[in-house]
Amino acid sequence: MVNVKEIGKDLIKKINDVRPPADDRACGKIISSGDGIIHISGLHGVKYNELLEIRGGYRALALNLEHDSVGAVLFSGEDKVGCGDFVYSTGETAHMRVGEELLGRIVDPLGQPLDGLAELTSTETRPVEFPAPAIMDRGKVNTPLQTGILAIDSMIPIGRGQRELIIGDRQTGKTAIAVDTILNQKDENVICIYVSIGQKASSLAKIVNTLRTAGALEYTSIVCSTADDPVPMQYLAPYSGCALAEYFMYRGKDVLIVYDDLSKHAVAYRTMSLLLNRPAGREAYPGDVFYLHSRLLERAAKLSEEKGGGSITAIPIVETLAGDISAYIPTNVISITDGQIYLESELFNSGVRPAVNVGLSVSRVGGSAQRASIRNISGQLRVNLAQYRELAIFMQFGSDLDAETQKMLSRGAKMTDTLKQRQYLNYSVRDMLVLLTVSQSDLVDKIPEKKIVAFNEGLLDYIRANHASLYGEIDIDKKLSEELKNKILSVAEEYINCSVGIEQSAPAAASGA
Amino acid sequence: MKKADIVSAAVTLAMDVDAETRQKIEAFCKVRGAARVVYTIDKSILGGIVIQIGDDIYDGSLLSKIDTVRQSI
Amino acid sequence: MIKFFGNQMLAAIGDLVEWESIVMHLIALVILTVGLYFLLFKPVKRMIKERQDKIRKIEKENVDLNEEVKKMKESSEIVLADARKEAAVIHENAIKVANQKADEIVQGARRQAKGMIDRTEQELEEERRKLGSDIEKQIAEVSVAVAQKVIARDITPEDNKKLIEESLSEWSKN
Repeated sequence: MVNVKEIGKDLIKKINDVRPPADDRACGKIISSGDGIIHISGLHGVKYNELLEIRGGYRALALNLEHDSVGAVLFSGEDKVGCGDFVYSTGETAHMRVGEELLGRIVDPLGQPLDGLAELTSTETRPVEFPAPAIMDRGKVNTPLQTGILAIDSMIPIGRGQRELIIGDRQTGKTAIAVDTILNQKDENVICIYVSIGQKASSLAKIVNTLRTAGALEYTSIVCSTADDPVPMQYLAPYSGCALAEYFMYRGKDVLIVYDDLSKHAVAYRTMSLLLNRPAGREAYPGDVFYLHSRLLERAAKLSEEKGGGSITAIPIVETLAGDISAYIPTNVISITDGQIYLESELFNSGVRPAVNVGLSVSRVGGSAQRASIRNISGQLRVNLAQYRELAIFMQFGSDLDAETQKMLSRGAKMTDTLKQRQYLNYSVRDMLVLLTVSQSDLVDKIPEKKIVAFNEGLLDYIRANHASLYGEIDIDKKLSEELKNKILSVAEEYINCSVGIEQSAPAAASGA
Repeated sequence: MKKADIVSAAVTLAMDVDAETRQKIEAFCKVRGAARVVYTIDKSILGGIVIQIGDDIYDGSLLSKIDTVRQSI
Repeated sequence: MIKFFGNQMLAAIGDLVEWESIVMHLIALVILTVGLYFLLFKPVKRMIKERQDKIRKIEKENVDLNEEVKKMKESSEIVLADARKEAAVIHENAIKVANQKADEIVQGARRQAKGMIDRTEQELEEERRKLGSDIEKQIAEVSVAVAQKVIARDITPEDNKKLIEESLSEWSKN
């Protein structure tokens, strides 16, 4: 139970530790307060982005430095501070608590724990705003970041240190891809940071639960600002998350950071700007909304070997309205990032999940980071799929199909089916190699069209249980040898024979040959 | 605001003080650019002194000291 | 009487049949027989031989067929055995896969359960700590309030003067 003696001792210790207040701190008075915005007279020495302290222990951030007053946004105590309260400048910018102990924890943008677990004892902090690594400090993106999603890793590869945008309408599985990617970093030696910006608390709870049950929380830290948090907290969250990521990056580690989502961040910033009476621009966003995101995403980098070789891979998420990627925020973020994964609700509803539109999705730097084995085998994939889609659209007019066209169509459909993937089911590189090899061989003709998904899952299980040595032979950093390819195909054939059945496959094989 | 604009310093005390202390206070205010000193007595600051010269506030009250203690424990 | 008739008969036959013609007949018969033999018997014989050959061939074929059937029977048994073996292997594989999956599920559940217990324990610990700090805070509030009252009553002009002078000298330093 609660130790009463301890309490007394603790109190005395704390009283003894009280540092004498700095009496001559620059000090001002609140002249107006409302909507989480305060205006302060005095405080001449205050700097932009400086953290202010209001009597009573509340915090604010100075954002508007005007001739005779300072405009600031409140982090807390919106309804507690009033006119005439003293405001002290602290001489420092907002800081985020950092440290190894933040892994597995849920914290707010100032580093306070929110998960009801032990108090954080780390005293190390990093400024929330920090300059991005210089050009000379950066290295080449050359290590892949495996998302575990076949469609992405084969066609839109992401490298460590890259910024890859996930964009799409609501309910298209944007967060699902990000969560799957985090889950797949198990044993990959990548630290993950999930930044929730203005998300519903319920959906965040679901994500936390998923991560916890999968054991992914051990290497993940969650920086959380929910929809009911003060707007400045939402505004600060991605920068805090990035500060935490930088802590690990400058220690030579690889970090994956997910910003979910930046459109809400822009909205939060717009709210603040409008309340601070800054001029509104397109879609009522302030003029510097581009800089808002560019300075955040610019901090994602791959450091050169001399700097420790760490990296921050940023996966921002942006929500579009009715598939409109030419709106203000989507175009901005698309132009900042090194590529995007475009999700379509039409695809999602027709059962293609993940609903990646392969035609509109690109990865501008990940190609060089892709593993040689995958690059070699998936080179033809994008072209084949594009051809299939074109053919499929053309064939919708329902003319007679010759055998060759029919075969191509069925193969294309099977290819598309192979790229479908259940949520939380991540493929390893070896799994991908097997699936890609089999789906691009003649063997697929033997499998009935409807059974591809079940077949793929079964095949992988079959290989894991009965041909485990085969996986040992695959070197993921080298091109697959012909011999190995044939071995994979023979195993697949074996599985076809015992799963699909000889009677069914025989006529198909005859017609196929 | 420049220091030249400032003409008066507002000094808040918890109780009246003797002439010697007043002299010291006025000397201090002069150094900081205030030509005139206006005194107010406010029991709620408990003790010590608060000087406001223009927008600069020097808070040496017991109230603020107790507040800091309260906040840090 | 009988002798008489016998002699008479012999004489009569002797009259009727001449020895030469008998010989001629015999010769003719021989020629006929030889001719017929060559003309008729040989083809028939050949025919019979052919027939025999045919029958023998059919018989041989029959034997072959029998053997083949036997062989096929044997091979089908082998195939059947193979199939049985294969089925067993497939079955075994399926069991292996299933077992692996089951193991994974059990392990996952165990991990989850352990995680839940750990977490609950942590939460309990934190709850306890929070309670402690809450009490602490209350005590602190009360003591500060008391201190404030006491100070307000007990502060002397000398203390006040000292405080003011301390503050002034502190500020003058910078």
